[in-house]
Amino acid sequence: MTVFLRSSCFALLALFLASAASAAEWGTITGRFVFDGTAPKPKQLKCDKDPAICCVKPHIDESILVSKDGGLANVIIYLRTKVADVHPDYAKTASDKVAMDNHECKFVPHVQGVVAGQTLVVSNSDKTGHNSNVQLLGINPLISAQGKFEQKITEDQASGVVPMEVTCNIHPWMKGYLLVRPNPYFAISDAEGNFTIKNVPAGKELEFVVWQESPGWVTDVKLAGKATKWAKGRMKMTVKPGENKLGDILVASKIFK
Amino acid sequence: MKQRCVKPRFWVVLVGTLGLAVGCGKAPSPRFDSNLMVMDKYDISFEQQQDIANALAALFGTPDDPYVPKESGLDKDKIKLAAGPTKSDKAGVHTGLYREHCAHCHGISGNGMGPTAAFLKPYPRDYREGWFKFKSTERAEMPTNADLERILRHGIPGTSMPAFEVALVQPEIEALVEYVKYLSLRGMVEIELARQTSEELGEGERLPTTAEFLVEGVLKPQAEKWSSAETKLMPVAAPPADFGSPASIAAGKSLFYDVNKANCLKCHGTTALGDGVLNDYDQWNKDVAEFRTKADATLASLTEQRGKAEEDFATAVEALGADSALSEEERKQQRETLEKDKAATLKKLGEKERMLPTAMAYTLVPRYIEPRNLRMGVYRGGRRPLDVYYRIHSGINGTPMPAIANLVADSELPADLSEEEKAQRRQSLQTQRMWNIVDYVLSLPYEPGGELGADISMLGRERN
Repeated sequence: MTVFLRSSCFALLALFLASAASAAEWGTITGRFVFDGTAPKPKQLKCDKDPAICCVKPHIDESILVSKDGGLANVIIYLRTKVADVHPDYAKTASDKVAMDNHECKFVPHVQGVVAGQTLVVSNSDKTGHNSNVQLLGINPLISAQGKFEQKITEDQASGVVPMEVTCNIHPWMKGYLLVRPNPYFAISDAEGNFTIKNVPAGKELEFVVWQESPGWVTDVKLAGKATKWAKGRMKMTVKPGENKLGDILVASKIFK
Repeated sequence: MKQRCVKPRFWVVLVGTLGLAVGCGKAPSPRFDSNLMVMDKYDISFEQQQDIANALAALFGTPDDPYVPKESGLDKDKIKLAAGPTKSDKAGVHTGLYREHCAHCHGISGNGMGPTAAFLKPYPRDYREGWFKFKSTERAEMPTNADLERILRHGIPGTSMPAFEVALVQPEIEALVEYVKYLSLRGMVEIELARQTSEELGEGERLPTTAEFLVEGVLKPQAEKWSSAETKLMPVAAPPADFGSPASIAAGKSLFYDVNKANCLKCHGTTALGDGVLNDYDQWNKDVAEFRTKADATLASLTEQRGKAEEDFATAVEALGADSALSEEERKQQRETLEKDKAATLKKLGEKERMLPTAMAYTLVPRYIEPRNLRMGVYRGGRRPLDVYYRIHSGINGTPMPAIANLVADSELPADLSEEEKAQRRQSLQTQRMWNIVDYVLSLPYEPGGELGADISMLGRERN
């Protein structure tokens, strides 16, 4: 009986989902952001606070990080179009803890993304106190050595502003970014420039926003070899079920600061 | 349910504007200024800015004729007392209190840009972001009526904000509190409209003018932040029994100077004279500094950007001509798209050229924030131990002053306690330590001798 009820519940739920969701099919987007041109050599940042703890290794400006073969790290790509449904696989990570650590007096990772419903955990693995100031989130916790700060992210906080800056006022060179979104459809390119957004609703034209901390909105790119303008970093695409390979996306060097 | 529509308010505004255009020999009525820095941040076009201004006029009216939608949660009668030109009627009812007492510093729009603002240090508060410093609510929340009333009554020591207790009677103070909330809410709605225009609307889509969107979708969520303030109070546990004792002061002192604990010395300095970090901004000044740098760069590169747009267009047209795979019709269509894109780019650059100098004129030269000199015995948010506790507990919104997240290390708690007991122990120990810091901070102006700067003559110190 219970089994029957449960299975019929599932069947009903599946039916409901199928009818509510315009996308019964899902696609995965992959691609790689590439710095088009010769990447500037990252500057060394001035380190003058807590030198014995913070300035053992030099700090470099992380605003433009390019790998050996040109891959551009920390490019954010997120879905701008409102979607009613997300793929059931995302339920597994819906209440995850998402970490940003104060490590050797820098934010690790440099750019982090968190979805409403998840919990942001800012920790401090250094032997000195840090504060992590995110004005747009209304938080600025003072995190003592080896301590941490946790906050569950609300829908209201995931209001869709371009990534929020995270700073430590005690150590002025420290800078990071936090992307807070109402849905999990976003990616941050890795050290080689690669990104993947899994299980995006297929079949409908969607709009994505591409952002990087140095230029802000990424407006000038070469996509499949063709020069393309993305006003306010906006890219339209209709996702096909299955694989959607964007290949190398060459970001014009002129837009960088 | 009948669909309400706020459109008729536009006619009121329009008729009012026409009346002004005819002229009657008087100075024009003051208007609310647009938040141009935010318009630039979200890249809002002139047409969209007009839509936002219309929406704001429909929701909030004008400085002389404020409109207070009931969904704002604000008291219309109080607003009427504070708004408009300063005058008294025959019955002795005095109105226009904001313009009489506040506008010269805080500005007609509450943007902190009144005529005297540039001469004051610190600058007057800009209410429009809804960030308030001295309050009893949690860091990100709005202040309560009582918080704003306290500031109005007692002023802010060490700033140009005077105490109005002797000048105003209770209903007048309440009216001004309500008007500050009105201006702040209006500013918050303006920012939200700009954000939604940029982040939510589709290409070419105009801002909806229905009551459902403006009132339910935009105004209510912002108004809710104000009306819920009373429920967002910071938790305050009573001070420990030894509060005020030398032991408590000594405990506070060691927390103050411990880089692994409260770490206060980093900003307030090893002597607590406020000389630890001297090159940092608060959020208001930081936003202005970043805006000015960006605007300067944009204005300096306009000619170059225009040339680039023409160049890109020429290159693309050439490529189009060389593409033999295209039919004549396709070629024509693609050329039209290119022309449209170029025109849009040039239009945007033209708008930047017109808007940015005005937007910059509406900002003040950014200044670094000064960590408070704790040896002066002057506390901006109030000198009661409770006031200092608030500042330590939640920090100061909009500034580098952080909120205490944790003052107790795991290793300080007995390992054999349950998780729940540990959390309780941690909480009570943390509260006690925050009170210890309050104790030490309040003792600083009187601290005799020692290494903390008291050995430097008061006359020799740099004061702020």
